[in-house]
Amino acid sequence: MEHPVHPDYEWVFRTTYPAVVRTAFVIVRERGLAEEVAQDAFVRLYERWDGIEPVEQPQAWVHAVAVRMAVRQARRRRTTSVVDLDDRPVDDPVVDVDLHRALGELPPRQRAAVALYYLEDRPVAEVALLLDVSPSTVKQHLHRARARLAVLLGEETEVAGDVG
Amino acid sequence: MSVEDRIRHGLRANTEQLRPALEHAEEVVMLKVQRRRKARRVRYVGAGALVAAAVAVGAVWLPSALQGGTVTEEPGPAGSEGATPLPREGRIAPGTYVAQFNGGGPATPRAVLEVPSGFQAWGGSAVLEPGDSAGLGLYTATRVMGDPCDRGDLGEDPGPSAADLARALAAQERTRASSPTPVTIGGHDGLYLELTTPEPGAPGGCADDRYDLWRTGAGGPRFVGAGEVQRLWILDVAGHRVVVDVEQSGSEDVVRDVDAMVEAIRIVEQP
Repeated sequence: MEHPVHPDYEWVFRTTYPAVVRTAFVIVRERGLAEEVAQDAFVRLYERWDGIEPVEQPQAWVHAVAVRMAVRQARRRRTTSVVDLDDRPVDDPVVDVDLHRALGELPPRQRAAVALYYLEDRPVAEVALLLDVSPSTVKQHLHRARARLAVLLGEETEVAGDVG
Repeated sequence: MSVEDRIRHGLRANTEQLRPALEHAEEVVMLKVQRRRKARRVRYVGAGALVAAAVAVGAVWLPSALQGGTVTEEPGPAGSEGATPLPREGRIAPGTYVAQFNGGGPATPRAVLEVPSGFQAWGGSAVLEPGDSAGLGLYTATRVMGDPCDRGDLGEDPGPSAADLARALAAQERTRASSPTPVTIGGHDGLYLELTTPEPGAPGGCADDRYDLWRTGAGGPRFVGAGEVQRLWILDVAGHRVVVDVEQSGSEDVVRDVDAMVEAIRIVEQP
Protein backbone atom coordinates (compact mmCIF):
# COMPACT_ATOMS: atom_id res chain seq x y z
CA MET A 1 0.00 0.00 0.00
CA GLU A 2 2.85 2.34 0.75
CA HIS A 3 4.62 4.25 -1.99
CA PRO A 4 7.24 6.48 -0.46
CA VAL A 5 8.23 9.52 -2.46
CA HIS A 6 11.62 9.06 -4.06
CA PRO A 7 13.92 11.90 -3.00
CA ASP A 8 14.99 12.65 -6.58
CA TYR A 9 11.38 12.74 -7.71
CA GLU A 10 10.58 15.08 -4.88
CA TRP A 11 13.42 17.38 -5.86
CA VAL A 12 12.17 17.48 -9.45
CA PHE A 13 8.66 18.13 -8.18
CA ARG A 14 9.68 21.00 -5.97
CA THR A 15 11.88 22.67 -8.54
CA THR A 16 9.62 22.18 -11.55
CA TYR A 17 6.00 22.18 -10.40
CA PRO A 18 5.57 25.97 -10.04
CA ALA A 19 6.94 26.62 -13.55
CA VAL A 20 4.71 23.91 -15.00
CA VAL A 21 1.67 25.50 -13.33
CA ARG A 22 2.60 28.93 -14.74
CA THR A 23 3.00 27.58 -18.26
CA ALA A 24 -0.24 25.62 -18.06
CA PHE A 25 -2.01 28.72 -16.73
CA VAL A 26 -1.06 30.71 -19.83
CA ILE A 27 -2.45 27.93 -22.01
CA VAL A 28 -5.66 27.01 -20.14
CA ARG A 29 -6.16 30.45 -18.55
CA GLU A 30 -7.56 29.14 -15.27
CA ARG A 31 -5.55 28.57 -12.16
CA GLY A 32 -7.49 25.55 -10.92
CA LEU A 33 -7.32 23.84 -14.28
CA ALA A 34 -3.62 24.70 -14.61
CA GLU A 35 -2.88 23.07 -11.26
CA GLU A 36 -4.86 20.02 -12.22
CA VAL A 37 -2.96 19.70 -15.48
CA ALA A 38 0.35 20.04 -13.66
CA GLN A 39 -0.65 17.47 -11.06
CA ASP A 40 -1.71 14.99 -13.72
CA ALA A 41 1.59 15.46 -15.52
CA PHE A 42 3.48 14.73 -12.30
CA VAL A 43 1.31 11.67 -11.72
CA ARG A 44 2.55 10.38 -15.08
CA LEU A 45 6.11 11.22 -14.14
CA TYR A 46 5.78 9.42 -10.83
CA GLU A 47 4.45 6.35 -12.57
CA ARG A 48 7.39 6.40 -14.96
CA TRP A 49 9.95 7.01 -12.24
CA ASP A 50 10.42 3.42 -11.20
CA GLY A 51 9.15 1.92 -14.43
CA ILE A 52 10.97 -0.02 -17.07
CA GLU A 53 11.46 3.11 -19.17
CA PRO A 54 12.90 5.66 -16.76
CA VAL A 55 12.77 9.28 -17.85
CA GLU A 56 16.18 10.66 -18.72
CA GLN A 57 15.33 14.35 -18.43
CA PRO A 58 12.41 14.43 -16.00
CA GLN A 59 12.02 18.22 -15.89
CA ALA A 60 11.73 18.51 -19.66
CA TRP A 61 9.59 15.38 -19.87
CA VAL A 62 7.03 16.52 -17.33
CA HIS A 63 6.95 19.97 -18.88
CA ALA A 64 6.25 18.51 -22.30
CA VAL A 65 3.53 16.25 -20.93
CA ALA A 66 1.90 19.15 -19.11
CA VAL A 67 1.98 21.36 -22.19
CA ARG A 68 0.33 18.65 -24.29
CA MET A 69 -2.33 18.10 -21.63
CA ALA A 70 -2.94 21.84 -21.31
CA VAL A 71 -3.28 22.25 -25.07
CA ARG A 72 -5.76 19.39 -25.13
CA GLN A 73 -7.76 20.92 -22.28
CA ALA A 74 -7.73 24.33 -23.93
CA ARG A 75 -8.96 22.86 -27.22
CA ARG A 76 -11.73 21.04 -25.41
CA ARG A 77 -12.84 24.24 -23.73
CA ARG A 78 -12.76 26.17 -26.99
CA THR A 79 -15.07 23.66 -28.58
CA THR A 80 -17.42 23.25 -25.65
CA SER A 81 -17.78 26.68 -24.12
CA VAL A 82 -16.99 30.33 -24.37
CA VAL A 83 -15.54 31.49 -21.08
CA ASP A 84 -15.99 35.15 -20.46
CA LEU A 85 -13.19 36.76 -18.54
CA ASP A 86 -15.62 37.98 -15.92
CA ASP A 87 -16.49 34.36 -15.19
CA ARG A 88 -12.97 33.41 -14.21
CA PRO A 89 -12.41 32.21 -10.62
CA VAL A 90 -11.84 35.05 -8.21
CA ASP A 91 -8.41 33.87 -7.17
CA ASP A 92 -6.91 33.91 -10.66
CA PRO A 93 -4.08 36.38 -10.28
CA VAL A 94 -4.43 38.23 -13.59
CA VAL A 95 -2.82 41.67 -13.67
CA ASP A 96 -2.69 42.40 -17.41
CA VAL A 97 -6.31 41.61 -18.14
CA ASP A 98 -6.11 42.71 -21.78
CA LEU A 99 -3.23 40.37 -22.51
CA HIS A 100 -4.99 37.53 -20.70
CA ARG A 101 -8.08 38.14 -22.81
CA ALA A 102 -6.07 38.47 -26.03
CA LEU A 103 -4.24 35.20 -25.38
CA GLY A 104 -7.63 33.54 -25.27
CA GLU A 105 -8.04 34.49 -28.92
CA LEU A 106 -4.99 32.45 -29.93
CA PRO A 107 -5.08 28.77 -30.79
CA PRO A 108 -3.82 26.71 -27.83
CA ARG A 109 -0.58 25.66 -29.54
CA GLN A 110 0.30 29.29 -30.22
CA ARG A 111 -0.38 30.03 -26.56
CA ALA A 112 1.94 27.20 -25.62
CA ALA A 113 4.69 28.54 -27.87
CA VAL A 114 4.22 32.03 -26.43
CA ALA A 115 4.38 30.73 -22.85
CA LEU A 116 7.52 28.68 -23.41
CA TYR A 117 9.32 31.35 -25.41
CA TYR A 118 8.31 34.58 -23.67
CA LEU A 119 7.53 33.45 -20.15
CA GLU A 120 10.16 30.78 -19.73
CA ASP A 121 12.76 32.32 -22.05
CA ARG A 122 13.42 29.01 -23.74
CA PRO A 123 15.20 29.08 -27.11
CA VAL A 124 13.19 28.15 -30.17
CA ALA A 125 14.96 24.80 -30.48
CA GLU A 126 13.91 23.86 -26.95
CA VAL A 127 10.34 25.04 -27.50
CA ALA A 128 10.27 22.86 -30.60
CA LEU A 129 11.37 19.84 -28.59
CA LEU A 130 8.75 20.44 -25.94
CA LEU A 131 5.99 20.92 -28.49
CA ASP A 132 7.26 18.06 -30.63
CA VAL A 133 7.35 20.20 -33.76
CA SER A 134 10.12 21.65 -35.93
CA PRO A 135 11.84 24.94 -35.04
CA SER A 136 10.37 26.54 -38.16
CA THR A 137 6.87 25.62 -36.95
CA VAL A 138 7.63 27.25 -33.61
CA LYS A 139 8.78 30.41 -35.38
CA GLN A 140 5.59 30.37 -37.39
CA HIS A 141 3.50 30.00 -34.23
CA LEU A 142 5.33 32.90 -32.60
CA HIS A 143 5.10 35.09 -35.69
CA ARG A 144 1.36 34.59 -35.97
CA ALA A 145 0.83 34.99 -32.24
CA ARG A 146 2.73 38.29 -32.16
CA ALA A 147 0.84 39.60 -35.16
CA ARG A 148 -2.53 38.72 -33.65
CA LEU A 149 -1.65 40.02 -30.20
CA ALA A 150 -0.32 43.26 -31.67
CA VAL A 151 -3.66 43.86 -33.33
CA LEU A 152 -5.66 42.90 -30.26
CA LEU A 153 -3.51 44.94 -27.89
CA GLY A 154 -2.87 47.90 -30.20
CA GLU A 155 0.86 47.59 -29.75
CA GLU A 156 3.69 48.19 -32.21
CA THR A 157 3.78 45.19 -34.46
CA GLU A 158 7.51 44.51 -35.02
CA VAL A 159 6.56 41.15 -36.35
CA ALA A 160 9.03 40.97 -39.20
CA GLY A 161 12.03 40.06 -37.03
CA ASP A 162 13.09 36.49 -36.72
CA VAL A 163 13.40 34.68 -33.41
CA GLY A 164 15.59 32.04 -32.05
CA MET B 1 6.33 49.43 -25.99
CA SER B 2 6.74 46.68 -28.56
CA VAL B 3 4.35 43.78 -28.60
CA GLU B 4 7.18 41.48 -27.49
CA ASP B 5 7.88 43.61 -24.41
CA ARG B 6 4.18 43.73 -23.65
CA ILE B 7 3.90 39.94 -23.89
CA ARG B 8 6.97 39.37 -21.69
CA HIS B 9 5.97 41.84 -19.00
CA GLY B 10 2.31 40.86 -19.12
CA LEU B 11 2.95 37.16 -18.80
CA ARG B 12 5.30 37.69 -15.86
CA ALA B 13 2.80 39.97 -14.14
CA ASN B 14 -0.04 37.54 -14.71
CA THR B 15 1.86 34.54 -13.37
CA GLU B 16 4.11 35.86 -10.65
CA GLN B 17 1.36 35.54 -8.06
CA LEU B 18 0.90 31.87 -8.95
CA ARG B 19 2.61 30.31 -6.01
CA PRO B 20 1.14 26.86 -5.69
CA ALA B 21 1.14 25.22 -2.28
CA LEU B 22 3.76 22.56 -2.96
CA GLU B 23 2.99 20.37 0.03
CA HIS B 24 -0.66 20.21 -0.84
CA ALA B 25 0.03 19.65 -4.54
CA GLU B 26 2.42 16.83 -3.74
CA GLU B 27 -0.20 15.19 -1.55
CA VAL B 28 -2.78 15.50 -4.32
CA VAL B 29 -0.38 13.95 -6.82
CA MET B 30 0.29 11.01 -4.51
CA LEU B 31 -3.43 10.59 -3.93
CA LYS B 32 -4.03 10.50 -7.67
CA VAL B 33 -1.26 7.95 -8.09
CA GLN B 34 -2.91 5.75 -5.49
CA ARG B 35 -6.33 6.14 -7.05
CA ARG B 36 -5.04 5.23 -10.51
CA ARG B 37 -3.33 2.15 -9.12
CA LYS B 38 -6.46 1.15 -7.26
CA ALA B 39 -8.62 1.74 -10.34
CA ARG B 40 -6.29 -0.42 -12.42
CA ARG B 41 -6.47 -3.19 -9.83
CA VAL B 42 -10.27 -2.98 -9.81
CA ARG B 43 -10.36 -3.08 -13.62
CA TYR B 44 -8.08 -6.11 -13.74
CA VAL B 45 -10.01 -7.93 -11.03
CA GLY B 46 -13.37 -6.92 -12.53
CA ALA B 47 -12.35 -7.93 -16.03
CA GLY B 48 -11.01 -11.23 -14.74
CA ALA B 49 -14.24 -11.95 -12.91
CA LEU B 50 -16.31 -11.14 -16.00
CA VAL B 51 -14.13 -13.32 -18.20
CA ALA B 52 -14.50 -16.19 -15.73
CA ALA B 53 -18.26 -15.71 -15.59
CA ALA B 54 -18.55 -15.54 -19.35
CA VAL B 55 -16.50 -18.66 -19.83
CA ALA B 56 -18.62 -20.44 -17.24
CA VAL B 57 -21.96 -19.65 -18.85
CA GLY B 58 -20.83 -19.40 -22.44
CA ALA B 59 -22.20 -15.93 -22.59
CA VAL B 60 -21.90 -13.89 -25.76
CA TRP B 61 -22.39 -10.49 -24.18
CA LEU B 62 -18.87 -10.21 -22.82
CA PRO B 63 -17.49 -7.50 -25.12
CA SER B 64 -20.26 -5.05 -24.34
CA ALA B 65 -20.18 -5.90 -20.67
CA LEU B 66 -16.52 -4.97 -20.54
CA GLN B 67 -17.11 -1.47 -21.84
CA GLY B 68 -16.61 0.54 -18.70
CA GLY B 69 -18.92 0.83 -15.76
CA THR B 70 -21.06 3.31 -14.00
CA VAL B 71 -19.98 5.63 -11.24
CA THR B 72 -22.61 6.47 -8.72
CA GLU B 73 -22.55 9.40 -6.36
CA GLU B 74 -22.43 8.01 -2.86
CA PRO B 75 -25.02 9.45 -0.52
CA GLY B 76 -23.62 11.36 2.43
CA PRO B 77 -23.55 9.59 5.77
CA ALA B 78 -26.32 10.06 8.29
CA GLY B 79 -25.69 13.26 10.19
CA SER B 80 -24.39 15.14 7.16
CA GLU B 81 -27.77 15.97 5.65
CA GLY B 82 -27.83 19.51 4.32
CA ALA B 83 -24.06 19.69 4.13
CA THR B 84 -22.40 20.38 0.80
CA PRO B 85 -19.55 18.08 -0.24
CA LEU B 86 -16.33 20.07 0.16
CA PRO B 87 -15.00 20.87 -3.33
CA ARG B 88 -11.54 19.72 -4.34
CA GLU B 89 -10.28 23.27 -4.43
CA GLY B 90 -11.23 26.86 -4.88
CA ARG B 91 -12.86 29.62 -2.90
CA ILE B 92 -15.97 28.43 -1.06
CA ALA B 93 -18.95 30.26 0.33
CA PRO B 94 -19.48 30.17 4.08
CA GLY B 95 -21.63 27.23 5.07
CA THR B 96 -21.77 23.62 6.15
CA TYR B 97 -19.56 21.18 4.28
CA VAL B 98 -18.97 17.46 4.55
CA ALA B 99 -15.36 16.52 3.94
CA GLN B 100 -13.27 13.39 3.65
CA PHE B 101 -10.24 12.54 5.69
CA ASN B 102 -7.23 12.63 3.38
CA GLY B 103 -6.26 9.09 2.41
CA GLY B 104 -9.38 7.55 3.88
CA GLY B 105 -11.41 4.85 2.19
CA PRO B 106 -15.13 4.48 1.58
CA ALA B 107 -15.72 3.32 5.15
CA THR B 108 -13.73 6.13 6.76
CA PRO B 109 -15.90 8.60 8.65
CA ARG B 110 -16.52 12.07 7.24
CA ALA B 111 -16.27 15.41 8.97
CA VAL B 112 -18.95 18.07 8.85
CA LEU B 113 -17.41 21.54 9.00
CA GLU B 114 -18.94 24.94 9.59
CA VAL B 115 -16.76 27.08 7.35
CA PRO B 116 -16.75 30.86 7.81
CA SER B 117 -16.17 33.31 4.96
CA GLY B 118 -12.76 33.79 3.40
CA PHE B 119 -11.65 30.18 3.19
CA GLN B 120 -10.90 27.96 0.26
CA ALA B 121 -11.00 24.21 -0.17
CA TRP B 122 -7.94 22.09 -0.80
CA GLY B 123 -8.07 18.52 -1.98
CA GLY B 124 -11.53 17.94 -0.57
CA SER B 125 -10.08 17.46 2.89
CA ALA B 126 -8.78 20.83 4.04
CA VAL B 127 -9.91 24.41 4.28
CA LEU B 128 -7.34 27.16 4.19
CA GLU B 129 -7.34 30.90 4.56
CA PRO B 130 -5.47 31.76 1.36
CA GLY B 131 -3.70 34.85 2.69
CA ASP B 132 -2.09 33.04 5.59
CA SER B 133 -2.17 29.52 4.18
CA ALA B 134 -3.44 28.58 7.61
CA GLY B 135 -6.37 26.34 8.22
CA LEU B 136 -7.73 22.98 9.11
CA GLY B 137 -6.85 19.66 7.51
CA LEU B 138 -8.40 16.22 7.88
CA TYR B 139 -6.07 13.25 7.64
CA THR B 140 -5.65 9.58 8.10
CA ALA B 141 -2.25 8.35 9.28
CA THR B 142 -1.09 4.80 8.76
CA ARG B 143 2.69 5.04 8.99
CA VAL B 144 4.80 7.44 11.02
CA MET B 145 8.25 8.51 9.88
CA GLY B 146 10.92 7.80 12.47
CA ASP B 147 13.06 10.54 10.98
CA PRO B 148 11.02 13.16 9.09
CA CYS B 149 14.16 14.31 7.23
CA ASP B 150 15.02 10.87 5.86
CA ARG B 151 13.41 10.71 2.42
CA GLY B 152 14.15 7.01 2.23
CA ASP B 153 12.32 6.31 5.50
CA LEU B 154 9.32 4.11 4.84
CA GLY B 155 7.83 4.82 8.23
CA GLU B 156 6.32 2.33 10.61
CA ASP B 157 2.80 1.30 11.41
CA PRO B 158 2.23 2.81 14.83
CA GLY B 159 -0.71 0.57 15.68
CA PRO B 160 -4.41 1.22 15.22
CA SER B 161 -5.44 3.49 18.09
CA ALA B 162 -5.21 7.22 18.74
CA ALA B 163 -2.87 6.48 21.63
CA ASP B 164 -0.61 4.45 19.31
CA LEU B 165 -0.31 7.33 16.86
CA ALA B 166 0.26 9.88 19.63
CA ARG B 167 3.03 7.68 21.06
CA ALA B 168 4.72 7.29 17.68
CA LEU B 169 4.62 11.03 16.99
CA ALA B 170 6.01 11.75 20.43
CA ALA B 171 8.90 9.41 19.66
CA GLN B 172 9.58 10.93 16.25
CA GLU B 173 13.08 12.32 15.84
CA ARG B 174 13.65 16.08 15.38
CA THR B 175 10.05 17.14 16.01
CA ARG B 176 8.88 18.01 19.52
CA ALA B 177 5.53 16.79 20.81
CA SER B 178 3.57 18.00 23.81
CA SER B 179 2.17 15.46 26.25
CA PRO B 180 -1.00 13.99 24.76
CA THR B 181 -4.10 14.99 26.68
CA PRO B 182 -7.55 13.40 26.50
CA VAL B 183 -10.02 15.35 24.44
CA THR B 184 -13.51 14.98 23.01
CA ILE B 185 -14.51 16.41 19.65
CA GLY B 186 -17.93 16.05 18.16
CA GLY B 187 -18.76 13.36 20.68
CA HIS B 188 -15.69 11.27 19.90
CA ASP B 189 -12.84 10.68 22.31
CA GLY B 190 -9.24 11.08 21.39
CA LEU B 191 -5.98 12.75 22.25
CA TYR B 192 -4.72 16.25 21.63
CA LEU B 193 -1.07 17.11 21.15
CA GLU B 194 1.03 19.80 19.56
CA LEU B 195 3.85 18.84 17.26
CA THR B 196 6.56 21.43 16.66
CA THR B 197 9.19 21.34 13.92
CA PRO B 198 12.61 23.00 14.36
CA GLU B 199 13.06 26.59 13.24
CA PRO B 200 14.28 27.09 9.65
CA GLY B 201 17.98 26.29 9.39
CA ALA B 202 18.16 25.07 12.98
CA PRO B 203 20.93 22.56 13.76
CA GLY B 204 19.51 19.08 13.58
CA GLY B 205 16.67 20.17 11.32
CA CYS B 206 15.94 19.01 7.80
CA ALA B 207 18.28 20.61 5.26
CA ASP B 208 15.32 21.53 3.05
CA ASP B 209 13.19 22.70 5.98
CA ARG B 210 10.50 20.16 5.13
CA TYR B 211 9.33 17.55 7.62
CA ASP B 212 7.69 14.35 6.47
CA LEU B 213 5.53 13.49 9.47
CA TRP B 214 3.45 10.54 8.35
CA ARG B 215 1.84 8.71 5.45
CA THR B 216 -1.90 8.82 4.95
CA GLY B 217 -3.97 5.76 4.28
CA ALA B 218 -3.47 6.39 0.56
CA GLY B 219 0.31 6.56 0.97
CA GLY B 220 0.52 10.33 0.54
CA PRO B 221 3.11 12.19 2.60
CA ARG B 222 2.12 14.71 5.25
CA PHE B 223 4.77 17.36 4.91
CA VAL B 224 5.03 20.46 7.07
CA GLY B 225 7.50 23.31 7.01
CA ALA B 226 10.13 24.35 9.54
CA GLY B 227 9.19 26.30 12.63
CA GLU B 228 5.59 25.25 12.51
CA VAL B 229 3.28 24.03 15.23
CA GLN B 230 0.69 21.47 14.27
CA ARG B 231 -2.25 21.12 16.62
CA LEU B 232 -3.47 17.57 16.32
CA TRP B 233 -6.69 16.04 17.53
CA ILE B 234 -6.34 12.29 17.06
CA LEU B 235 -9.67 10.56 17.32
CA ASP B 236 -10.90 6.98 17.49
CA VAL B 237 -14.20 6.83 15.58
CA ALA B 238 -15.89 3.45 15.37
CA GLY B 239 -12.69 1.57 14.66
CA HIS B 240 -11.21 4.27 12.44
CA ARG B 241 -8.44 6.59 13.53
CA VAL B 242 -8.63 10.08 12.07
CA VAL B 243 -6.68 13.27 12.63
CA VAL B 244 -7.86 16.86 12.68
CA ASP B 245 -4.76 18.92 11.96
CA VAL B 246 -4.63 22.67 12.48
CA GLU B 247 -1.63 24.66 11.43
CA GLN B 248 -0.96 27.11 14.19
CA SER B 249 -0.23 30.19 12.14
CA GLY B 250 -2.02 33.15 10.72
CA SER B 251 -3.59 36.26 12.10
CA GLU B 252 -5.68 36.31 15.27
CA ASP B 253 -8.84 36.41 13.17
CA VAL B 254 -7.85 33.33 11.22
CA VAL B 255 -6.85 31.44 14.36
CA ARG B 256 -10.19 32.35 15.94
CA ASP B 257 -12.08 31.18 12.84
CA VAL B 258 -10.17 27.91 12.74
CA ASP B 259 -10.69 27.31 16.47
CA ALA B 260 -14.42 27.84 15.97
CA MET B 261 -14.39 25.29 13.15
CA VAL B 262 -12.67 22.74 15.39
CA GLU B 263 -15.17 23.32 18.18
CA ALA B 264 -18.11 22.90 15.81
CA ILE B 265 -16.77 19.91 13.89
CA ARG B 266 -18.94 16.81 13.70
CA ILE B 267 -17.57 13.40 12.79
CA VAL B 268 -20.09 11.15 11.11
CA GLU B 269 -19.71 7.46 10.46
CA GLN B 270 -20.28 6.02 7.02
CA PRO B 271 -23.38 3.84 6.63
